[in-house]
Amino acid sequence: MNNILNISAHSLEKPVIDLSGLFSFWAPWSPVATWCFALVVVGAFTLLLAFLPGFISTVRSKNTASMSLLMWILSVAGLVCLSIFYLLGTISTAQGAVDPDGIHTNIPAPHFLIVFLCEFISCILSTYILLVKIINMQKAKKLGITEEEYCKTLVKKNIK
Amino acid sequence: MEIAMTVFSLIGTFLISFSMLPQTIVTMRTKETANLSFGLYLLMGFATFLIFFYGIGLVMVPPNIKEQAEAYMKLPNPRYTLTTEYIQNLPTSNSVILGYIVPGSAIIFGELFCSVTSFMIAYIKIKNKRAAIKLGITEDEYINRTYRTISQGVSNE
Repeated sequence: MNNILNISAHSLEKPVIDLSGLFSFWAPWSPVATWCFALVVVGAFTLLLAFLPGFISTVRSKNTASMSLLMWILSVAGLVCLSIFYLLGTISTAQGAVDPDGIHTNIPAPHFLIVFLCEFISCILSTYILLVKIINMQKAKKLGITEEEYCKTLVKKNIK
Repeated sequence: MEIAMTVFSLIGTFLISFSMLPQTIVTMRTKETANLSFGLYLLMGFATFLIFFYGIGLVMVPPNIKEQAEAYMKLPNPRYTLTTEYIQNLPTSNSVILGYIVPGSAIIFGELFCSVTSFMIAYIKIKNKRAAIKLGITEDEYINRTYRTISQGVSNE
């Protein structure tokens, strides 16, 4: 289908027509090309995978000493904003979803929905890590020790 | 809706792109990578690199898509039929600029920056790990021997 996507003008007077997004396999109502959908979906799943090991190790050990507080604050705030962006994209594409036959489908562009779900789950995972980090920092401060020392005692408790 | 999308995508991309920067600066200075997860930074770099291409895809959406669809239907024997209602529902130039081109540009620069910084951390980590394996010691021991000794030496001078 993509071979017809870049339709050349019949003469120099006519504009060059590029309707690649409109004939995309996934969502003909969204003007974004199909390859673009595929890349962002793989990217969002990879992003989710990137946060999983950190999340699992934090759940198991509660050790957050080596983690940068600023990095997690920025990540959580960024993921919240991007989740909202993809949610709005899901809603707006669903509202304007008309297939080439003129039928209102109300189906959102799939990439917006999938990426929203991935970003939202990543956001929950990183929020959990950030909360554990802040709790550890506060508890360590109360005890008058460093976070690293506090985490070491936690690891010892977990081993026992 | 488009304005809200633009604002959230710009803020989100800005924050995500700079999230790796503090860790990158610290890692570049100290070379301490023993406690860092290689998988996190490698996957993060790979993911943001893929999302960078998504930004390119967003920027490639022509602002005059509505006019182009109308022009397509005026071609003799177009292969696909686009109804008037379908063409009417296509985004206007302003919607394309606010909903696709501006967020796309932000995603291109932000995600590329995040990708580069993540790969830099992953590269230093794998470099230290390989050197430690060659010497038959742990990564922490290798960092202690090479970088901490160097920094102590510098501070003593």
